[in-house]
Amino acid sequence: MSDRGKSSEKGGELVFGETIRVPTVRRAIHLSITRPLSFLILRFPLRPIYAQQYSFDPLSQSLFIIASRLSSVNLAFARSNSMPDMVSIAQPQQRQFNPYSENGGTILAIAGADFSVIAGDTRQSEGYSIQTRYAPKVFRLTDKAVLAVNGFAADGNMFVKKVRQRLEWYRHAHAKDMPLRAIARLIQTMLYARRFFPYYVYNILGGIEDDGTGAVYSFDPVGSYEREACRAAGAAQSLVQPFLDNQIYFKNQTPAPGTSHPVHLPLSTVLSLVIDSFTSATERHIEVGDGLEMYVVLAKGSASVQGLGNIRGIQELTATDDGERVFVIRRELKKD
Amino acid sequence: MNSFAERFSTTSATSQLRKAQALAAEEDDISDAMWGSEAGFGSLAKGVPTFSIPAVADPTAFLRLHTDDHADPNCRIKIQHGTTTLAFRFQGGVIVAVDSRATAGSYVASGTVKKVIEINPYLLGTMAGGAADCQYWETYLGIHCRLHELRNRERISVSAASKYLSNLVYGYKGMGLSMGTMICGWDKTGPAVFYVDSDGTRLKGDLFSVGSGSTFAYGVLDQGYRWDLTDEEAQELGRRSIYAAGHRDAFSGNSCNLYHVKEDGWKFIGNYDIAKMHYDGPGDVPGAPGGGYGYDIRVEGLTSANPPPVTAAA
Repeated sequence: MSDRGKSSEKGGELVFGETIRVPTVRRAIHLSITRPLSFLILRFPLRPIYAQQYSFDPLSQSLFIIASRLSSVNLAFARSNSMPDMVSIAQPQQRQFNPYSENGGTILAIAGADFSVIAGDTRQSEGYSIQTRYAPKVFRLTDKAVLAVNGFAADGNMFVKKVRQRLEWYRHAHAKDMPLRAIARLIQTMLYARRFFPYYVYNILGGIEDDGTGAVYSFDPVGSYEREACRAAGAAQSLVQPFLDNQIYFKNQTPAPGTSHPVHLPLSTVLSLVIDSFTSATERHIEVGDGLEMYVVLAKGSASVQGLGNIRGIQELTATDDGERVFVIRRELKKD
Repeated sequence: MNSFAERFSTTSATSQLRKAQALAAEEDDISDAMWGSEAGFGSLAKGVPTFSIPAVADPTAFLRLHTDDHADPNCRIKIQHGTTTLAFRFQGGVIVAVDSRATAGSYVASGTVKKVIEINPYLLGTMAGGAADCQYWETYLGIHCRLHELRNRERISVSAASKYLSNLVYGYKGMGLSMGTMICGWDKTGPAVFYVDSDGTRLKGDLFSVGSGSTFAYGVLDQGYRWDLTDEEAQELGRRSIYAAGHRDAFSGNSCNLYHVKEDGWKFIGNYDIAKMHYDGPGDVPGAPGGGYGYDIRVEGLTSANPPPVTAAA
């Protein structure tokens, strides 16, 4: 056995001080080392390196390198007997890559006949500590689409940013806002593009369809989606959703003889249900509270606009004169 | 001479083109198609979808660590699981019946999931395993079935479509995709059902059931299956099998969606509440015997828990 051996792009033996070429792909390169080895230095060239990671497995004497846009790696290593005093640092280090966190909070959306309400609390927490009392989770995308994101806040904010960018590009290409069902499909493909490195985000999209009906689409983190009439997600999902099932879908309720349940509820009822959902969730879930933001999207010529006038602190966010109108209503929730 | 000059020119058309190409190569993350509309499939501009991969030694282990709730119920990203789906071939076409429950751990994440994916008017796919995997890849399959029609001036066979899907997911084998699907349709050969899963299995057959409730569905299905079933009998068998699974499997339930594929394409037959089927039956539909599927009505007054009325003894 000699110190010198062969190395290639596909793997092989390593040589002291040798430069190996790593193909510019986001894949691992796997090299086995024939000499016993416990200490390893990797030198990366000066050119820009966007992502790199390596690990060394002493059992199989193999080296993994992940490189992205990286053309070559200079390897220097020593045999275990050459550095007897450095046994402690010579141990291979196993690191776990955990890019996810959970930031609590709850989001909720309800579709009406010609409107949609999308709401979320504004508390952001990590573990038992509150990071901020005002971190919006609900975002206006267009005049007819509002997106609520819940889960890992950093992923959520980045995702909303990327969706907005795609919607802007669509507007430049087509001189109109993307229809709601198309935004829903776009969100699916954007989430699924990260199938192997998911955004830890639960999305609920609410707004007005092209036919003027209110709609809610709910997504899982990797992009499966469904159109529904109402959906709650996040920390207090299991507290809020059963309440909504009962009050919106009239589940396990029997109508009085000779009457029937309404198919669509009026906006004022829906807003009361949303406020009640969040005040109740605040009482019973530690990660919910501080503030409540409710976005209301109204279809073209919706009569529901009359009821909005006397709501305290309502603010209009409509940007175009397409006909759909977006409002936001803010309320305080308990802060303990 | 001219070409020699052009090679070193910085203003000629070819050098401009060369510069543009060099620029385009740098922007490999953002394709031109993403600027406009690609029917939502902006990431498919290059013909094949591209996926972000975490920069770790073993991306599959990373994904499993964060998403596999079978191994670790505390993992953060819950992927919806639990299902009963079935499809069978008979004299009158193909019956496809599914439940509508999605569970994340023990929480019923949704009771209104559409587990039959309408690939095109002649093809149906069913959803078991990862909801997103099935939805995405079967939609993607739909795109390629349409491209096949445009290129070959005839509809794709069920066999070819299922093999396309099978080959597609086989390319991702071991990377964590989870799907067990039945591709059902009607082509030149008549009614056809193919089972395709993310391990790469692809089976042609007359009768399949997939999911956690499949054993219960098979019990009813095998017992009532014949080739010469009438349309009504076949629809009833599909409904009754999903009811059985919804009744005995905790991860299945809520409602049953029923489809029937015939020579002129698929038709949605109906949505049936499973609790309602238990007590009252599926309602006034062809093939239904009338009355609930539950055995309560058959034991009425005959068991110790529900004893016969005491008759005045002599």
